[in-house]
Amino acid sequence: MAIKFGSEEWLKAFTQEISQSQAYKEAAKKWEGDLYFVIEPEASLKDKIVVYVDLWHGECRSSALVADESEKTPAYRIWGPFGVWRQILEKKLDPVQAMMTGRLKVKGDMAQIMRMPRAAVELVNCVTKFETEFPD
Amino acid sequence: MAEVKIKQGQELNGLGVMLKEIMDENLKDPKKYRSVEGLNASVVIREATSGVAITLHFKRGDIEIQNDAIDEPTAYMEAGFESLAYISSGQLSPIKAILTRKLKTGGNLLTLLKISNITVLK
Repeated sequence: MAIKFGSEEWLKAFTQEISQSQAYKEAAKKWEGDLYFVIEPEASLKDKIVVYVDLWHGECRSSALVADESEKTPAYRIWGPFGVWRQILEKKLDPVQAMMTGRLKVKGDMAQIMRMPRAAVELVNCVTKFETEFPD
Repeated sequence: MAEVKIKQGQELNGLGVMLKEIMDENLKDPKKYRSVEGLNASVVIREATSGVAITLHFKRGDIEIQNDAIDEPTAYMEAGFESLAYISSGQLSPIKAILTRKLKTGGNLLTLLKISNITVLK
């Protein structure tokens, strides 16, 4: 059954996939740093969605949907318009390509990302493993 | 302190943002800056899967980065994101990457070797 994009249930499914993914655990075993995924409103998405995940050595220590970005100061921020995120979640757009072209923007310690390039890819793969229902 | 300048009026693509941060970090070391200070060259770096490229211009001690590849650079290198990341973070030697065909290069290889002082975290 598809889960509503950006809902608490959706976040729970995402974090569950992170905890079950051996590929992510392996790729991110040295990863230290929390992050925001910011989905900017576009087309059918009227309000910004901010997903917070605290990632530590291949585990997700905590997660939350954040109403105000100033609530936390994560080490990383990955942001882009809803349409780009949707294409990635539907596996129509490669997340690396989205980052390389700048359609998805990344702020944070680039050296750590470069040291563990699979970590970001496997993290995004986790969110594509369950069906998402998008706003019409 | 030396810093990579962004070509006027441009917003860098993702590849450029990542490489600029690594180069700026390296340029904090005066020794590394001196190793490229005398270069007069242009170098294209391309991510193979997406085709996204940047060009670095070295001229009279200035280093400028721009989106896309220019025609006829002094040297160029091309690799997939993971290989570029492993090379830039110092986990994969550029020579080994060339020998295993993870990294394609062309033009003046000495220039590529020199700029590795700032494009690779060591």
